[in-house]
Amino acid sequence: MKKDTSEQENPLKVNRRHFFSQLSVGIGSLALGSLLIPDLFKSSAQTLATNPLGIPHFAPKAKRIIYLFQAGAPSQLETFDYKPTLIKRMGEDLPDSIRNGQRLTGMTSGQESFPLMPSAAKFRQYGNSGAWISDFFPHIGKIADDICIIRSMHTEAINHDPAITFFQTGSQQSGRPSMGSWMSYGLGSENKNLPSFVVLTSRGKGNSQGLYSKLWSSGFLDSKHQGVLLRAGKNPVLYLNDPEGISRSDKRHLLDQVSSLNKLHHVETGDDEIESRIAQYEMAYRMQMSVPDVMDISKESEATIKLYGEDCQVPGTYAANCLQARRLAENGVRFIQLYHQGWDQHGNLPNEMAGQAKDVDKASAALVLDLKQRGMLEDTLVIWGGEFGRSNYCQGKFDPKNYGRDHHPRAFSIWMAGGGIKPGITYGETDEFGYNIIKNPVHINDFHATLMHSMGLDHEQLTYKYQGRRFRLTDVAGNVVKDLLT
Amino acid sequence: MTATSKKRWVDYLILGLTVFLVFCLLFEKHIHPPTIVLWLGKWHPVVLHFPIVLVIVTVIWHLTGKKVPYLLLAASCVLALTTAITGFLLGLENGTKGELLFWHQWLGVAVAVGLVIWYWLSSSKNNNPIITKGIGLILLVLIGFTGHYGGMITHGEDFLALPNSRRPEKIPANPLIYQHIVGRILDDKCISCHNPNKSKGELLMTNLRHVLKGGESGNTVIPGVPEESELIRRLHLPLEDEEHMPPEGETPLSYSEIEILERWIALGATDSLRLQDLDQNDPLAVLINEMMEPDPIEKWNALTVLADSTLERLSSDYVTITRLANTTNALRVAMYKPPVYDPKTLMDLKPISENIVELDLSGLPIGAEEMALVSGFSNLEWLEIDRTPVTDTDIDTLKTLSKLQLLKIFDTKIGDKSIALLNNWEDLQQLYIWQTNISEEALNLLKEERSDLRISTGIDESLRSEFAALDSIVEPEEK
Amino acid sequence: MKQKAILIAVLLLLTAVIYAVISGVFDFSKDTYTEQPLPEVVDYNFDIKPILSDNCYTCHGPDANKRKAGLRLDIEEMAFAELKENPGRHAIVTGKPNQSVLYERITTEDQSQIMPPKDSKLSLSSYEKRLIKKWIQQGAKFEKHWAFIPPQKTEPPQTNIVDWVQNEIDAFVLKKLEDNSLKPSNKADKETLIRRIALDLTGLPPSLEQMQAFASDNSDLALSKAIDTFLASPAYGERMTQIWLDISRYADSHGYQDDSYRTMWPWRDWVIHAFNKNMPYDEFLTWQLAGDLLPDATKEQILATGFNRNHPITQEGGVIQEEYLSNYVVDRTNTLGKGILGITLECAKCHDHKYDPISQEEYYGVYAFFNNVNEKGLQMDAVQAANQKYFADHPYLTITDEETDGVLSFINKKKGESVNVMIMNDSTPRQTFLLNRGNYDEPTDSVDTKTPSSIYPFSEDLPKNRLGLASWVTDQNNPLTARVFVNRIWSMLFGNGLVETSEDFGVQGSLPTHPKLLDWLSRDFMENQWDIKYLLKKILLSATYQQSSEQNSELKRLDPNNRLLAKAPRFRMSGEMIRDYILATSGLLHQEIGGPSVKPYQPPGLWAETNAGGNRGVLTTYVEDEGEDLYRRSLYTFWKRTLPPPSMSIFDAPTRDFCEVRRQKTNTPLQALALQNDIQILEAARVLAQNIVASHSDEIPMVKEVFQKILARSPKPEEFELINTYYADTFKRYSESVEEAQKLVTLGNATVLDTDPVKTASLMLTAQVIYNLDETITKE
Repeated sequence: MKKDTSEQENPLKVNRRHFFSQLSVGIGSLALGSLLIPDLFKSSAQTLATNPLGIPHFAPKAKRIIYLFQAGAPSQLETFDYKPTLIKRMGEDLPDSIRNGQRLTGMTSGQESFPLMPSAAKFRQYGNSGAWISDFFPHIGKIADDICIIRSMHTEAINHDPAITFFQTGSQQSGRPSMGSWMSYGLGSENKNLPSFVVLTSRGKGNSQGLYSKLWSSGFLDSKHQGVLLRAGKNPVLYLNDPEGISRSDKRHLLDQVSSLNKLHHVETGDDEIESRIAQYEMAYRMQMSVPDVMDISKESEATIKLYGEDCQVPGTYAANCLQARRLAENGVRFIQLYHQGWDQHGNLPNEMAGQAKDVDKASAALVLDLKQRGMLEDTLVIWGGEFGRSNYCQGKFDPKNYGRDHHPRAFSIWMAGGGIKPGITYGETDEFGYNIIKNPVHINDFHATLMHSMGLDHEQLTYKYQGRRFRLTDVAGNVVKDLLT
Repeated sequence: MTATSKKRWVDYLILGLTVFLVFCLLFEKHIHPPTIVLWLGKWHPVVLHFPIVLVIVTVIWHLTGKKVPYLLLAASCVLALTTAITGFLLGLENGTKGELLFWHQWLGVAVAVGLVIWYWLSSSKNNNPIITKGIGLILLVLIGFTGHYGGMITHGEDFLALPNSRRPEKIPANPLIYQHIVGRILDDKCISCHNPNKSKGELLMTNLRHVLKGGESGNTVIPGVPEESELIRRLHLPLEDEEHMPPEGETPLSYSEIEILERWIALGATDSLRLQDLDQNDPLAVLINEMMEPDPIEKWNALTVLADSTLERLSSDYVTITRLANTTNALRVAMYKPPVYDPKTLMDLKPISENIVELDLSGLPIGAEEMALVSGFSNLEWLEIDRTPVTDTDIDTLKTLSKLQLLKIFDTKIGDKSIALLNNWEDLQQLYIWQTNISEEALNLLKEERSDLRISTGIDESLRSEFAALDSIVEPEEK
Repeated sequence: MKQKAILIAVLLLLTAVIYAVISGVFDFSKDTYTEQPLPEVVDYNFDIKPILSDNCYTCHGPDANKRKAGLRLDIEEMAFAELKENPGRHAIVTGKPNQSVLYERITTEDQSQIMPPKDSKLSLSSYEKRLIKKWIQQGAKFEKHWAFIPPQKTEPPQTNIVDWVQNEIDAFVLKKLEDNSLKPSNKADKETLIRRIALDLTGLPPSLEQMQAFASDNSDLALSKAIDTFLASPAYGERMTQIWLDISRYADSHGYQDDSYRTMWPWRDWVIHAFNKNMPYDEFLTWQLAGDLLPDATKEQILATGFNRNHPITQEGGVIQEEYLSNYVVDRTNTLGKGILGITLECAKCHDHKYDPISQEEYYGVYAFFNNVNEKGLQMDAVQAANQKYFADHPYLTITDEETDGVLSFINKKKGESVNVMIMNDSTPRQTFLLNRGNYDEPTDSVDTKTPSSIYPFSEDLPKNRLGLASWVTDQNNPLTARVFVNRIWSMLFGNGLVETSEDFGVQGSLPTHPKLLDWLSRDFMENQWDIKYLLKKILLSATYQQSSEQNSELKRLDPNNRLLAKAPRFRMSGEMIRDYILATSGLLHQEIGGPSVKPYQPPGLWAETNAGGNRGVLTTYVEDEGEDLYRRSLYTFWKRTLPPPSMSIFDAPTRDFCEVRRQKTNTPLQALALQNDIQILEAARVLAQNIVASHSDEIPMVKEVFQKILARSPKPEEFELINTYYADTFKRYSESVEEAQKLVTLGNATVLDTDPVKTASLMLTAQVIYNLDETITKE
C-alpha cells in the first residue's frame, strides 16, 4: 500500500521509472536477440567468399591425384603399344616417310641407320576390354578393366630435363609452378595437419636420370604450395623430429613459452604477422604427430602387405611409396607425386625393363585394387607414365636380346584410373610402326586440362598474375579430352 | 505486490517478447542459435494450442460486448507471442522455407502482433471497442489460416522440399532433335543476333526454314554436308578469328553442342527426326543423352544459403568443411583423427545438417551418439564410416537417410541385422562392405534383392593369391 | 505518449545500428568505387594507362598478331585514328566522351558489345569508367610510359609539419602522408635503430661494443658515425653480395640433370670486393657486362664478366647443343632485362611484347650482343667432368697463385691450386637471327645489335658490342638503370620497393607509390657518381627510415600495406640473414671472406635420394664440412641448383635457375620446424648457453644475458618474468633426468665445454625459445 500512495503522490517519478524499465526491457530483448547472431561483431569481410578464385568451378569427380611418375621415360613399345609390324619388319630401316623430319637427340643423330626393333616382351590381351599389355606387366594386366590406357600422348621436348619439367609445370623452362602447386593453390588442403602436396621418390636399378626440386617447386605461387618431400626413414619431413632429450611435453612447454612471449610482442607492435606465426607453430606441432602417424604402416594388414608385395615394408621402395600414397590419400592429401627413377633404356633395354617392371608392376596394380576396394577410386585419380616415349628403332648395336631405344616425343603411352576417367578403354592410336599418332592425339596441355577438369577446375580460369601476365598451368593451349571422362 | 505493479510486469513481458520476435524476423538470415535454443522450438506444437483456444474465447467474449477480463487478454497475448517465437525457432531448423512454412510463419506473426496491438489499445485510456472488435474478427480469420497451413506442414513434410521453379523446362523423354535439342542450342547461342529485329548478316535462325535459307553467304546449312556448311565452318574457327561465331564476348558453343549441330546436319538437318529414331550408339544419341542428364549441382539449389564465415566457424583443425562447388551450398565434411577425439566437434555441425551431402568419418572412434546426429543429415548422399566401431544398433538410426547413394562401412562390426537397413535404402548405388560380420548367405540375399546395387566385398581371394604368388615377370613360354 | 514515441524511436535506432553492423556499413574493406573521388587532373600514366594496359592491350596493344579490329590504344595516333570497322567514328574524340566509341563500348548495356568482352573475364569498375570519361573530357592526353621518361630532380615539396623532416626524402614522404591526412610515427628507440641499421648494412646483429658506443653517444652525429662504421666493415660487402647473387643467378653447380660442380666462386669473391671498395654502380655494371672489352682489360675486369656465365648449362647426354647455346644467350638477355633494366624483355622472345613497346626484333637485337662467345656448351657429362676436374666451360680464366698474389689478391684461394672461372669474350662473331616463336631451329630474318629504342635510343657513336651496350645501360639518360637500382636498395631496406614489382617497371608493373621521390633519388644517385654507400647513407639518415615500426589500428585500417610509409616496415629476414644472425649471436660465426663454397649442416641423404646414381659427378652425395666451415656466413653455403640448401629454400630462397629480384616473405609450418629442429640452431643455442654458464656464477643474469645477446635489447619486466620461470621449470625438469640434459648439451660438432648439464640444458632451451621468437627473425 505504502508504495502505491507514494506513487500517487508523484506520478511523474513513476512514469519515468516505468519508462526506463520499459526501455531496458526493450533493449534487453534486443540484446538477447543479437546474441543469436554469431557473426554480429565480426567484420563482414569474413562473409565474403573465402575462396576468391571461386573454386572448385564445378562439382569435381576427383578430390585427389596420385601420380606414379616413371622418370626416364619407359618405352611405349614394351608396355602398352603393341606393334606386330615391328616383328615382321624387324631390322628394316625406319622409312623416311614415317620419320619425316623428326629431330634426333645427339645420341642417335650420328647413327647411319635406324633399324626397326620389336619388343623383347610378348603382348597379350587382358580383361573384357581386351587391352594389349606386355608380359613385363602381368599385374597391371589384371586391372586392365579398371584403367584407361592412352597410347597417343605427345610432347615437344626430346631431352629429359625439359620434358619432365614440361610434364610437371606445363613449361619446358624452369620457374613455373608445378601441377601439384596449382592444385594446392586452387583447392587448398583437405587435411590442415598435412601438406596438401607431397612428393615421394624411389629408384630402380635401370639407367636413371636425376630429379630436381624445381619439379615440385611452387614457382611464383606462394611457397606454402610447394611440394613437401616425404622421405623414407625416421625423419619423413625435414626438421620434423625433436632432438633427443626433448620430450613431447617439453616441446609443448617450450611452444607455450614462445607464444606467450610472441603475444606480448604482438600487443606492442600490433603486427598481425606475429599471430599467424603463432598459428604456424601450432600447425607444425600438430604435423609432428600427424605425419609419423600417416607414415606408420605397422597397422596395415598382412593381406595388404602381400598385395603390394613384401617390398612395401622396405622404406624408400616404390612399393612402400605406393602404400604410403594410399595412406596419404586417405588422410586428405590433395596431390601425391611419386617418382620412380631408372627408365632411361638407351641400351640393355630388355633386362633393365624387366627389372624396372618388377619394381613397379605389382605395387602399381595393387594400389589401384586397394583404392578400388576402399571406394577411393571413385574420387582419386591415379596416373602412371613417363615424360616421353622411345624410338621404334634400335639405338647402338642391333641385338634383339640386348638393344636400346632413344628418346621419342611424338607418341607414347600412359594410363590413368579412377577419378572420373572412363575405365577399361584404350584411347588413341599410333601408326603400325608406333612412331606417329594417327588417332586422337593428346598433348601434355590437354592432359593437364583434363586432370584439372576432373578436379573441378577450369584450366582457363585458374590463373595467377605474375610480372603483368596471367599465367595458367596450360599456358595458352589445352583442351579437356571429353572422351576420357565418365 | 499490487494489481498495477503486476500489470506493469506483464506489460514488460509483452513488450520484451514483441521486440524479440520482431528482431528475430528482421535478422532471420543472420541468426544461428545454439542447439539448446533451437530445442525450444520443439515446444511450438505443444504451446500453439493454448493461444488458438484462448484467442477464440477472447474474441467471442469481446464480440458479445462484455468487457474482456484483463487476465484473459494478457494470457492469450503472451502465449501467442511465445508460440510465434518458438515457431520461428522451429522454422530455423529446417532451413528452406517452403511457401507453406512461409505463410504459416507470417500469419502466425500477424496473430501475435494483432493481439499485442489489441492489448496496448485496451490498456490505453481512450480505446475504441469498434477497432478492437475489428481486430478480433481479423484475428479469427488469421488463426484459421495459420492453423490450416500449420496442419498441412506437419501432415506432409514433402510439401516443404518443393522443388524450386528456376529449373529450365525439361527435355522430353523422346525429344525431336531439331525442336528440343538443336533449336534450344540456337536459341541460347545464336538467336540474340539472328532474329527478325536484328538479323545480323541477313541471317535468321528463328526457325528451320530460315536457317536452311541461310544468310548473306547462303550455304549456312547444307543438309548432309556439315563440312561445307558455313555455320559449322565458323563454329570451328579459332576464338580470336574475326569470323568465329558466336562473336567475341558471346559465350561460344561447347564441343558437344557443335558436334550435335554437325551430326544433325550430317543426318539431313530435318525437323522430324527423334532421339529414338537413332541407333543408341550413334554419337548424336550419346551426346543428347549426356545433355539430358541434369547438372548435379541443380538438385542442391534448394539448400539453405550458408555464409563462408559460418563454415569457417564450424570447421576446426581436424574438421574440414568444403563446398562441393563454389556455386552451391552442398557441403563435404571430412573429419580426421585428432590426438584426443571429442564428439562435440561433430555435434556443432547440427545447424548445417541439411547442407551436408558428403561425410567422411572413416577411422574415427564414433558410436551411437554420432550416428544419431548423422541421421539428421537429411540430404546425405555419400557416407564413409569404414574402420569405425559402429554396430548394427548404432547405424540403425541412419534409416532416415533416404538420399544415401554411397556407403563405405567395410572393416566394421556390423552384421546380418543391418541387411534390412541396407536393403531399404532405395537410392543406394554403391556399398563397400568387406570385413564385417555379415554372413555369406545374408549378403547373397541382399545381392539378389538389389541387383541395381554395386556391392564391393573387397578384392576377391583368387586375385589376392595370384598377386601373392605371381612374380612380375611372366616366363616366355617355349615356342 | 511522448515516452512511447521515444521508446519506439530508441528501439528502432538500435535495430538500425545492428542491421548496419551486419550489412557491413562499418566494414571498410568493402568496395567503395562509387564514392571514390576522381583526381583533379587525370594523369595518363598513373590513372588511365594501368586500366588500358590491364584490360585492353591484349587485343588492342603492341602485339600485331593478336590485335582486334585494327584498333591500337597504346599509341596516340592510332587511338585517335578513324576506326576501320565503323568508318566516320573514332575510339577517342578529344573532350567528347559521348562521341568516343571507346567510352561507348565500355559503358554499353549490350552484352554482345560490352568491352572488355565477357569471355575475357575482365571488367571495368565504375570508378575506372568515370576516370576514362574525365580523362577524355580533359583532352585525352597521351604520355610516354613514366619509367621510359628519364628521371628529373624536382624540388622537395613544402609540408605543414616541418620539424620532422630530416632530409629531402622526408619531404616527399610527408607530403604524401599529409595528402592522406596521416602522421608519421615517432623515431624508433636507439636499441631498435642500431639493430635495424646493423642488419640492413651488414646482415648481422650489432656487436655489444657497437651497441654500447651508440647508446652512450648522444651527439647528433651518433647515427651518422654508426652508419659509417657499418659501411666500412667487410660484412657490408657480403651483405650486398648476398642480394646480387639472386640477381646474377649464382650457383656452384651447372643446373640440369646430373647438376655437376662448377667453379664460379672467384667471381663471387670479386663482387664482395667490388662492394667493399664501393665501386660506383655504373662501373660495377660495365665491368660485369663488358669488362673484357675495356681497353687493355685487366684480369679483374675480365673476371667480372663471369656475371654473364652464371646461367645453368646442361650436361645431359644427347642434347642438341644449338638448342641450349640459344637458351644461354636468352638467359643473359633476360637477366639484363629483369635484373638491371627492370623490364620483362623475355616477353618479346616469341612475339612482340604484348604490353611494353619492345618488338621481337629488338629482343634479338639485345640477344645479338651476347651471341659472340666461343662457348660450345659443356663437352663432357658429369662423370667425365668429375674424372678430368673439368669444372668450367670455355671460355674461362685460369687463376693461379700469380694472380692471387697480384691483381686478384681478393680471391680467397688455397696456395698452389689453380681454378678456372667462366668469363665472356667476343671471339666468335655470329650472325643473329630472329627466331620464330623463339624456337632455335626456326631462324627467320637476320638481326643486328640494337636496344629497345622506345626506352632510350642507342647512340650512333657507341660501339656495336657489349661495351656499347654497357655505356647505353649506364648512360645518365637511360631512364631505367638508376631507378631500378635505387628501387632495389629501397626494397632491401623497406621490404617493398617504391615500385613494388622491382622486376618490372614496364606498363604492367606496379606504379611507384612516390614517383617524385624515386626520380629525385635516382638523379641524386647519378649526380653523386653512382655512389652506393652514399645512397644508403642518404636513406638511412632520413626520418622516414628512422621511424618506429609499431602498427596502430588506424594505420592498419587506412594503409594496411604501409605503402605510404607512416611507419617503418617490420618484416621477416631472409633465410641467410636468419642463419647468420643465429651464428653471430651464439658466437659461432666464423668471419672469413670468400673462398670456395662450404657445406654446413644439411639433413643427411638429400642429394643421394634424387641423384641419378652415385657415380654421376662430384655432387651426388652431400659431405658436410668440418670445423670453422660449418659456421661461415650463409652466402658461402654451397648452392646446388637442383637441390638448394633446404634451410634456405624453406625461407623462400629462389633456386637460382634464373635471375630473381624479389623474394616472397611467407610464413609456414616448415619454417617453424626448421627453426626448432635444425641442428645448426640447436647447436647455436647450446654453445651460447654453455659459454654463459661457463662464465657465470648466479642464474638470474644468465637468462637476462641470453635474451640480451640474442635480441640486442634487455628484456622488459614481464618478459624477464616469463623466461625466468621457464628457466626455473626447465631446470627442475632436467635435474630429475640428467641423462636427457646430457643428450642436449652435446648436440653439434662444436667443442663441448665441461659445464653443469642441467643448467646448460635449461639455459639452452631458454635460448631456443628466444631464437624461435618472431622478433628474433624479424627486422623491426
